[in-house]
Amino acid sequence: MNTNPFKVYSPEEMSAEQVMKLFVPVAESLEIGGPEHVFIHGHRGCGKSMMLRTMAPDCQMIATGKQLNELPYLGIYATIKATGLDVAEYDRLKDQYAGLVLAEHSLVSFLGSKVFQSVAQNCMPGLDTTHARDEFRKFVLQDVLPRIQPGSDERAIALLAQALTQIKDAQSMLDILNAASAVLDAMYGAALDYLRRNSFTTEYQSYKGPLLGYRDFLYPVMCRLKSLSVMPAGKPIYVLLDDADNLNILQTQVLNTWVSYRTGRDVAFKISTQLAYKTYLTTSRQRIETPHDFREIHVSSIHTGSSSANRYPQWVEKVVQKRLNDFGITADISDFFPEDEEQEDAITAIAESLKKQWAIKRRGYRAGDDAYRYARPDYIKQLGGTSKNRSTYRYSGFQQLVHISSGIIRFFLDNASTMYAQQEIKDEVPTGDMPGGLSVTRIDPTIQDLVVRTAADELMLGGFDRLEQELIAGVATDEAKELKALRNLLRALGGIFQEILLSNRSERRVFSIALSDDPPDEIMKIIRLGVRNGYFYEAAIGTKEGKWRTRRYIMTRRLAPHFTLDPTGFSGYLFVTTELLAMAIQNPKQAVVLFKENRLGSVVDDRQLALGLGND
Amino acid sequence: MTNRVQLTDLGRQLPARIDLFVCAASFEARCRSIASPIASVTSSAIIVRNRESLASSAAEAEKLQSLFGDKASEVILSLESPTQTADVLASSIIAKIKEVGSGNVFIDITTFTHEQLLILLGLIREHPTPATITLGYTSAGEYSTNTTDEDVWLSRGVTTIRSVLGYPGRLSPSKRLHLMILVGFESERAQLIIERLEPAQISLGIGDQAQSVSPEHFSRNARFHARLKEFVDRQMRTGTAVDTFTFSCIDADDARKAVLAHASKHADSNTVICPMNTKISTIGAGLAALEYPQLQIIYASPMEYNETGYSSPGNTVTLFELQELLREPHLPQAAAAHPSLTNLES
Repeated sequence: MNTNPFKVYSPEEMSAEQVMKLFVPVAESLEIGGPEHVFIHGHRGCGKSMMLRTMAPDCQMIATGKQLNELPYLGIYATIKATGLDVAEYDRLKDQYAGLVLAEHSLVSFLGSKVFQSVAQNCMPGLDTTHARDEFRKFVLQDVLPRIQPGSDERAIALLAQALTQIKDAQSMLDILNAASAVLDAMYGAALDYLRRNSFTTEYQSYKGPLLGYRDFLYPVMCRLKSLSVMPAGKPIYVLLDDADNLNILQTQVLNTWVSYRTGRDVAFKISTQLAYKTYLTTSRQRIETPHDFREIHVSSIHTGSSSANRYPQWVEKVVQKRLNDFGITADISDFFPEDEEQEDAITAIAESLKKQWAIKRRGYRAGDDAYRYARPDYIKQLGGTSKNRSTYRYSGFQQLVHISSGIIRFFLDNASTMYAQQEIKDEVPTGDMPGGLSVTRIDPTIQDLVVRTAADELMLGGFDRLEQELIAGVATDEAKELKALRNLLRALGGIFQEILLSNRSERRVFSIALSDDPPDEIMKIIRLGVRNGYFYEAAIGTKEGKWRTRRYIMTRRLAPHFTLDPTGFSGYLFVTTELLAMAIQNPKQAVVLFKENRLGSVVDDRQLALGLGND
Repeated sequence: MTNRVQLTDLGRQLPARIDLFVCAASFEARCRSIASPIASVTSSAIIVRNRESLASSAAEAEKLQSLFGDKASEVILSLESPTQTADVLASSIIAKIKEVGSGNVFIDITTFTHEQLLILLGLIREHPTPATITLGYTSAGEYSTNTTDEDVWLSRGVTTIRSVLGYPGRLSPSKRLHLMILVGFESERAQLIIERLEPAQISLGIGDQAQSVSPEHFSRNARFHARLKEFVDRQMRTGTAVDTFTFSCIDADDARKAVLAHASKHADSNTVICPMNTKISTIGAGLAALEYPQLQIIYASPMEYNETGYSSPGNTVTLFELQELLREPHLPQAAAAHPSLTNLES
């Protein structure tokens, strides 16, 4: 057992008991448990994998207290690793029909193997009975193996024959499942062998190995599986496919084709992506659409949208409290991550003063509104004009830390884990297990501040800002150039947001931009790169004129400490034109100067937006 | 057999005539270290360049070109398209090797990318030749010459991670992922690879002290290894086993053996190898994966190189003959040494 309560676990490697001990359902009801195909999009670390992992049978049995065959569905959990299914050799086949056929075979045999592996890993308690064994043995011998045509691949033929014998003679359920998995592993391997033969040649190589398809193998096998009495009989199978961005373009098209079949009542795909899913086209170049073919959920938006104002912090609190409780600490979360008292007292004093002034100036809707909007920015402003003075602002306290995590639980936990380790060093806590429970009972505000500031600087500087010094014009790859442009854009926006915070404007807590016009593709490419890498979150907003809606991009609040911004909320938008964006990408300093001179961009208070559709 | 010689003695160690010399022009002066002393005994030369870095390699390419005059031809590869790289290498270098028959071929591997080098190795194995192919590697005198010891960096960031063409592995969907990294001076990039691949098991390889390019290199390498291990200990999930192994940075065959010996301990996993140390050890990793095709090799393309201070040229060259290493007799020997890997193949 580790002694850091905030360590991040890979759901794939966690036991059902660990998962259920640590998992807290996401604040919003995501409704992904229905018999339909669902895409779940979200940045790395927002909780997608954990969500899918909890849908595996072992977790569901704990969660519902039911037996395997009483569950409402059978979840098959499978993670796609970066170079697992997508190997470089596919490039040889990308323009050939053979490429699609082989991509389907690879995906089918991969998932086929995962079906048996998943049963072995996630269904076993109570499944190793004579009845279950006999039923499974019959299923594999009659419904699985006969569907495999090994072609003339000698290795596949031999393994198939070997598996037949092994399964007939198997003494345990695990032996049956492992033998079935091994056969499908071999079918998968046959495709890899063929791809390897294509590595160094442009000449056509004939494929004589096994070919498995969705409709003639995987789908009928899963339908038969769900009819077994030991399984959730008659209930659908959910294929919980994690990190589908790691499929190559051919495999992605194949998966989309399966989604287009709308077989959700029998087999539904719950597919998670890290916002880099390659295409929604099928193998026949048709586009799968939502809501006809699938539902779509953006976890990051759920955590950062307006409806998340309280729910995300509440969710994080539950997650963190669960972890602390597990280590024997029941103190209030705010006591574990205390605010800097002196700073908060000063901010409270400013808030009180603002409330008193409200009767005279009446800037907000009510006194509390004014205090909420201006107290913290005013405090930061009062610290002085130099960045040195402003750096004395303390990013501490549970609420600030939650806001800085910007809707991604992993960011909160990673920071908390580092803080915990540093507090241990400061407190000179002996290393090793602490049988008496948690050794650290509070994280100093100075440590909280240092950790989030370091993380923010690393986000901007680590391998990113240095590009400016190192990049020699004309020698970088296109992607490196785009990253430099993105870094410039972030610098300009961070600088402008800081200018706004330190100004006397009516709305000073601005963290997002809305597009006033339609920027050209080269600018949108940079913004989308920012979204993909977690620097921006995308949403929609009503236009100033109120005639239609436009795109809004919220900068990650993880960068708040880097630019000394108030992370605790935002309620204004910076409407930007193509001119400002182009200037920001080219020359961030100049963009900030022109904004200061009121020559670029305009800040709009959310209450001024005509449609008031908000920031969903 | 590996032979380490002073650059000044290089001429005496090589045949009187080199029928084909191959090297890669880069932003490093190191790409000329071998070419300079042997240009006069070379009949023909191929200078490899990358389409995406033509500007940064222009100065060194021009100097190489002037060394060889009209004996040299230029070949342009793509950093972004491994298949295109393989096709160009096949139609240029491999075709030329066939032309020289049983002559002498000398390939300076120093400034090829790890990926291109592995592809070239795979191609040479695919096209057996009677030629004598000698590989040469110039060690760096110093790395990261424009930074302090603490801030050493050679390349940063990762744009894409892909399997290397010719080394797709034979991964089994039912097995867990075991990532072996031959750690170099690039702990940040190694961290990114670990984060993106999320392996169940990690093995960090460090250059053997006795088999390091120099004691200084070992000490820097060890510090980066320690940094990486610290990162792994701190960041990686509970249940992720972190293991270590050592390998030779200066002997490809020893590196091959070390990789196989360690991979065999994880025969129940899908082993993916990421070579990030010397090009010699990368050849060793490539040889291991060619012998045992279930091993996959990956390459993480860097976002940027420390072009202004990557390295200063050293004064020694490591020489070894490739065919000796590619000979099949290795297979039964290795099979005996690594029965678990052999069992996997059967």
